[in-house]
Amino acid sequence: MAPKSKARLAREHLERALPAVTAESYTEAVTWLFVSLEAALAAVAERHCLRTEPKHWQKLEIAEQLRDKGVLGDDVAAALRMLNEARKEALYEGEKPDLDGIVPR
Amino acid sequence: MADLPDKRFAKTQPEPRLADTPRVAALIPRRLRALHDTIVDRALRSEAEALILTGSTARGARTPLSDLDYHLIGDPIDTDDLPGELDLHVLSAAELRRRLREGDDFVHWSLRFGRVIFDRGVIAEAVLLIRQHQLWPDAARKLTQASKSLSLARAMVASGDEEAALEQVCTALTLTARWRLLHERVFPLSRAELPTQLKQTGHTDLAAGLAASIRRSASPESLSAYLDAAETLIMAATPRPAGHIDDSRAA
Repeated sequence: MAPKSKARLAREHLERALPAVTAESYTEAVTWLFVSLEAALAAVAERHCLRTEPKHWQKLEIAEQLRDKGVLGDDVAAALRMLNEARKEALYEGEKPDLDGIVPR
Repeated sequence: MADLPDKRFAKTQPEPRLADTPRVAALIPRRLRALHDTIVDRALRSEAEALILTGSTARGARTPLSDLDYHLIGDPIDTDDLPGELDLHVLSAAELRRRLREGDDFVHWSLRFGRVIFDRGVIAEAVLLIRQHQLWPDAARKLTQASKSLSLARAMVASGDEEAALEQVCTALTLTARWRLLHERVFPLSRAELPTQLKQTGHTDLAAGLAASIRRSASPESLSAYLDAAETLIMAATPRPAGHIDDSRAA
């Protein structure tokens, strides 16, 4: 079976995230939101002939490059950074993540 | 080299006890030393109570996946302009004590294996607290995290996102390994050292899966088998709920 496109993965991950957000299942919510945003970023990067690297901080750099080119707004890199921290807090420390600042602009 | 803290801060906070700086610096890759100096400088200027280098860097066991991790005891400092490779965990002194008492293995890990960059007394007190009360990380808490992470890893594998699945499987196997070792009263070391500890305690399947996922050499087909190994280990150690029917006996 052919691998799914990053754009499709981003949509599907988002569909999994939304019920978790509604149910306030914060580990599931931040994990699926994070992978959705990373997949969406990879899809945009592909369109602009940028290769995304596997490490999260390298993806963050791609988001910043795309912001500098005027392709993405400031909020994508900020949301990636915050979701990554929240995901680690929830998964590794079992703590409710601090999501202050993740607000739609 | 980072600037030393402004002397006026010493009037309100005890003078920090500084660590063996050259030895700590030797653990940090050359390309990250300027970042390290910046963190130390900002932490001192913020009048933080303590700063600890933690994670695989503190053990001299970095992997290609490693970030540069710290525990900062004090108020948050600005890191928005710094590389994303930095992973700064900020806690108040009260929160540090709470997490130690609740059995959070990460803060226990930092106190046991981390490299104290500076301490105004809170770390020394925390170590005393551990000794006096013989505190040990809560394995049951780790089991809850491992079980949740395994379930997410299964869903991620099923989603067809190979990159995300590999990462989530690595996370789930790491948490399972930490739970199992804590359960056996073995303190888990850094991620790269866990496969050896697992082999030494007889958990060879989990060791193999974790080693492959750390190397990122696990095939998508093998990921489910690794998750099976982790779940088998968990099920063997978890009491079955009342009313559970043993299928093998029924057959």
